[in-house]
Amino acid sequence: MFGRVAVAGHSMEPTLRDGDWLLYTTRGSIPVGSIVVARDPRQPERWIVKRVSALGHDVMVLDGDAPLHETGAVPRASIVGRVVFRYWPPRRIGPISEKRRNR
Amino acid sequence: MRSVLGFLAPRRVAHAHCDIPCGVYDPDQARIEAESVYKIIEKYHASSDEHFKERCIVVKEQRADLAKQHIDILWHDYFKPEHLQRFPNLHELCWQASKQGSKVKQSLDIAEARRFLEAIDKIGDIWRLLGGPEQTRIRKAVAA
Repeated sequence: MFGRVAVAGHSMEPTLRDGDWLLYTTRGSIPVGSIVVARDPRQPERWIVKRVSALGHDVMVLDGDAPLHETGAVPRASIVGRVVFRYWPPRRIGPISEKRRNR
Repeated sequence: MRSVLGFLAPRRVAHAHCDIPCGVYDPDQARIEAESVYKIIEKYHASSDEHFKERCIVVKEQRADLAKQHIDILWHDYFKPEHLQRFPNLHELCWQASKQGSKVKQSLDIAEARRFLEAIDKIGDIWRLLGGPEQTRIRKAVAA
């Protein structure tokens, strides 16, 4: 139902930062604008965290929030869950919204 | 406290790294940070405000670090073995650029910042010759 991941990397800045700890849910729908955790289609044991910018029939189009980080599509089956909350670091604890910042 | 943090820490890493399925690489990311470093050094030397100068040093450190990270990403993830065949000095260039990034963190010499830009430009030239802009910066039309 829920899971936790640590963010590694910068393509989701400023929304998510390297080292953030996130809570995700495997339940419920995933609207456009959600941040999701997904299995990397080319390396399934490697997970990625990106924002959903569009929904296709069998795919989700994922996007990084940082400038120059453009889109790529993953099969829906690769989606692990939707990020709902950041629980670390303490001064940035809070829910993760669907809207993209700074765009 | 340590055991509480250990309990709270996630077991898994999720990569927000610009990689698959994204595949976007552009040396301009490193260059912009290196240009910041250059400008910061200029402003540092033009100022007599000690507090401002201290802040310059702090931000110079951060920006040079970001430039080094972008160089590393190009090095580890964009460049492939077939690129090395065409440009055998690729590893050397990336290594030297990274080292120059360390240099500018340690120095307030504008010439070192200039060398940092030049080192990144050498990598950028190869990226362009390899078709980087066409391969990695194509925008997809995405339905709203």
